[in-house]
Amino acid sequence: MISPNTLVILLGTTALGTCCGIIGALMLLRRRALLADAIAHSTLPGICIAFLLANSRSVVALGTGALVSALVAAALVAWLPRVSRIRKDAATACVLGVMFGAGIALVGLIQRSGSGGSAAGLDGLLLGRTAGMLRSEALTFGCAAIVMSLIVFSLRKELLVSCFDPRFGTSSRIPTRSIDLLQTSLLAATIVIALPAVGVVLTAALVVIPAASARFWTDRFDSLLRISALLGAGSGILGTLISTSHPNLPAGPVIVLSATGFFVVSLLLAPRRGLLSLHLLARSRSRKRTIRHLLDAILDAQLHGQMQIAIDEIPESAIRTDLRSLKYSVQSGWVRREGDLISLTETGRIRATRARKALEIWREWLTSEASIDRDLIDLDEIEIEKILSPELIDTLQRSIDDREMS
Amino acid sequence: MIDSILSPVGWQILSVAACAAGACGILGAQLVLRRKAMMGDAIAHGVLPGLVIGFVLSGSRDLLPMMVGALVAAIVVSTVAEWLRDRAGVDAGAALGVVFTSLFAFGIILVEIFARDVDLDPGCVLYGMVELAPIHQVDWFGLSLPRSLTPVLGAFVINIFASLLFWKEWKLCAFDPELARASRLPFRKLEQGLLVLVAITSVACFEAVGSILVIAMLAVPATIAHLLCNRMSTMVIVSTLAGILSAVLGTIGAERFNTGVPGMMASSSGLLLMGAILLAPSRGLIPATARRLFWALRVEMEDILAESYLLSEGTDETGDIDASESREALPPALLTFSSRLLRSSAGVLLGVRGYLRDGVPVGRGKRIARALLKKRGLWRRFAAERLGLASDHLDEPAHRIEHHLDDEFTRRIESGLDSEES
Amino acid sequence: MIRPAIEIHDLTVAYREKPVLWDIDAVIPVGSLCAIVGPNGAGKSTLLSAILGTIRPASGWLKIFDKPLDRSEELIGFVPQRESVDWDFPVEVLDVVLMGTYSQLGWFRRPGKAQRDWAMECLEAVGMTDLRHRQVGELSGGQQQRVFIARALAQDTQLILMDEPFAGVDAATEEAIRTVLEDLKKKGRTVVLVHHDLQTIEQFFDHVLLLNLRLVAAGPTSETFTRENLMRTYGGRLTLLDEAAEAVRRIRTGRTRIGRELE
Repeated sequence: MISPNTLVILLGTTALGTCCGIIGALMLLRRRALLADAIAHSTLPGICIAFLLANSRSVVALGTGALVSALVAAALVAWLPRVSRIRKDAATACVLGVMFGAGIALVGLIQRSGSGGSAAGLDGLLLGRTAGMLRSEALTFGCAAIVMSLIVFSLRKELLVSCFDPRFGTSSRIPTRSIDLLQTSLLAATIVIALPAVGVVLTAALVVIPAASARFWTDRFDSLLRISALLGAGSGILGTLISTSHPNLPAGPVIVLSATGFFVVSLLLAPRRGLLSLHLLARSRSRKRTIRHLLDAILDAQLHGQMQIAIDEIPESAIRTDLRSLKYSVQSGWVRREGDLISLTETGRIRATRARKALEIWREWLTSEASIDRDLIDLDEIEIEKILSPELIDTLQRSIDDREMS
Repeated sequence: MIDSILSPVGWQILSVAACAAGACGILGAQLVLRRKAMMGDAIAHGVLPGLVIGFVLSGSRDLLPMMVGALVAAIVVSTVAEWLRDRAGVDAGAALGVVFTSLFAFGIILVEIFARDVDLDPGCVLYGMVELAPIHQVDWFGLSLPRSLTPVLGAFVINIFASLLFWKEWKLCAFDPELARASRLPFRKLEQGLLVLVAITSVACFEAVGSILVIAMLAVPATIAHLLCNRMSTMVIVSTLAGILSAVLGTIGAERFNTGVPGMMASSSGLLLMGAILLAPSRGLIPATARRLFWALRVEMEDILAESYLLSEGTDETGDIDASESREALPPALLTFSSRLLRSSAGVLLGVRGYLRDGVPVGRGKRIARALLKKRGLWRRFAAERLGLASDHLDEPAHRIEHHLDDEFTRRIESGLDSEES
Repeated sequence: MIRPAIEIHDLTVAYREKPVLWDIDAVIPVGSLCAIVGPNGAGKSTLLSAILGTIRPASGWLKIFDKPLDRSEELIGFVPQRESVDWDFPVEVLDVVLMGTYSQLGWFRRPGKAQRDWAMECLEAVGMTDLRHRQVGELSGGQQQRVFIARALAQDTQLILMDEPFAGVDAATEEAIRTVLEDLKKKGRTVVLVHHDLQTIEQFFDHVLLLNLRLVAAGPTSETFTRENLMRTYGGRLTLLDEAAEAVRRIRTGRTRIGRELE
């Protein structure tokens, strides 16, 4: 079913995706995602100059040119903000625009100076040609992926420190600057290797998108790298499969759109950080809050001697127009409903009383305790109930009582 | 292809290129001030699917439908990227990267599917066709002008008007977004409007000069201006002028080296940027280094004068200082090569100027030496009495600071010390 | 004679041509708990950076345990200001504390069980063992500060620098940091920290360094932390010096014409 040729491409794109995913995660953590875009565009003048000098399209010559050019671009992006008031984003954009423009000028020069036929290959760099991937290229990608994984695996702690807190790294005698240089070189190398296959813009996409998707799934450094590599590889596989079954679809863009697909899925479905779970969390919180207000309102009425209360007497914030919170409370056995009149059951009464007491004590403690962690003051009512166990409430009560006595 | 920059054809190419560069330059200044320089890159890439869809739906290469499609795409880029950043907590750079690369990939697929046989290859979008500008002509009030001048000139004029109209609002938004939000300005609309203008400008420029040029012209002239100016008004003007200047240089360069205009424009703007980094009057690398060197030389010259003055006079006439207090010269072996070079060149200069003859300061040299010694004495007293510096510390810093004291400051120290005593 | 942990001589530091520390000269003895005190912009954090070796002084020298800074083998523990890192970074509490052990591990080696146990011990010292698997962004401000302290403890160094560890923390964290400081003192470690709260200085620190662009006073708290010295640190008497610094900067960046003698 899968032809040997497809298998080669499949292997190649998988390895490529892995490579880009790993280095992309590191770049994301340093907040340098767009550096990949700048470097990818900046390889063009190097390639042209190498072509003019070597007068051939040999992979080694062009690759060397591209790598040199990429490193120059990375160095410029780092250097400009240091020696002048140019900011990081402007430096990135300027280097990208100027170097790519210079590359285009050189392409024009080559095309018009007679050797036009052989320059056609340079044009291909912009978009890449995944379908024509050679076995040797696929092997290169495989090796690159292995080398990259090995480096990242063995230098994990150095990379972690220089990404998270470079100043601390210096105090621990970890050469954060060399690590920085290593990361940038790895990025440049990855881009140069990937360029012929997927082209300038799409290489940047493969570096940025899997990493951004992976960030939704995890809060850990190692898993971020792993998931990002996996998503990169997955995009490679999926994209290749789709493009081989639809011959008129170019593989490079399809791979990128597969990565985008994974991104959208992550954005929506990832646990905790995904939009769906954020939405559900917000909804369940707001429902809990409404129920709390409802029980509290009924309790209030009971404390004023009214054993039952009519639904329209309950404040809007506690019941909402759709009565869903009321229905839920009835189902849970906290509220008894007879027609338009509602009252608390025994369990409902205990629940409402406890919640009210917790909140009261909490507020009192906040006002009596001057130097309290600022983050705790903004706690939600719902969270307070969760955090303050009955025992803790007793302790707080006691400490407040003691203070008032003395 | 271009016979001469002064030929009618050359003029037409140049005018298209200059209008495009000017239009980008104005907006670029706003983007750079907002730290959104990469937005130009993102929009230039991200509008591709919009262009293609506009083209496919209208079935023609008319500018308007493509422009509309591109505008929609540009708004999608900026809105979605911002939304991802604010709502989904994606890093700002990554959010932008995800959106525009995805759109670009989508655009390429659309090109492959729908526009294969038509002349809408991505290359055309990338490079533009400014050299072909003179071929299609339109009549404007009896003047025959290149057709592609219309959109770029239009964009240029719109941008000038928009900048004048929203001047103070944009200024506030760029400088202090928080205040702009708080002060009832339609902050989001203003910022969105700016990005819409960026999109209009880039689409208008695509046909003429291609998307690479848009990227470069939105970022580079504005960055040059940022280096040279300290006010937004001058910055916008300088940015526009820098854009136009790179258009001129680019057109000349393209003719000279027989290559495309857009690429050469981007390259020449890069050269201008390098020039600005190196030569900017107050912050440039070369002036700063030169100033430091000049200063070191001056300090050295003053020191030599003061030392030789003390040696030749024995005691000072002001009575404050005697020769034993003069700076202990380091043994020559310990001096680094550069400081020795500095010292000897300072000595040569003094000789040339005639301040020092046979190791004795004469004329103005003498006056300089005296002034310096007086300041040195004053500063030492000030440092010891008012700042409470330990006496063994006085030499080094005092030795440096006295060179920096201007007359006004010296007077203030003097009067300060006097008031202390009285 | 007490052995000095840090010896600063004639130290001047300049940022972009403007001197931010003038001619500092101080000795901090081994085993002391030293507070650096001064108004905003007095160069306190700059002094810490200079001791750490992350910025190069314009003149003067520093010795750490009798060795010049650039030749010193001694590691320095460091607690940065909380705002200096990206708290959204995907690391867990225990991972951050483990960073403290990295310098002993050397290249390529990963932290093993021994390091893990040690990191747990350090977390225990600040009372944070329960939260070891939290992502750092999910902690409250005070808890983040405690993680940083635990990391510095994990570095296990003779000298520890802390940049405003008490800024904006809750009572529990303040208590935890105090306990840690007392423990460190008992072990004979030297701790230098930037401190804001003048009320607590006499209670906790045996050494103070009063700083306002230049050194106002340094020495044992009982002798140095006097009303008069505080007035000199926070009072307006130094404006002239500040102006001199500004004048130097202006001249060096070419904003004003320099003296006329040589023209």
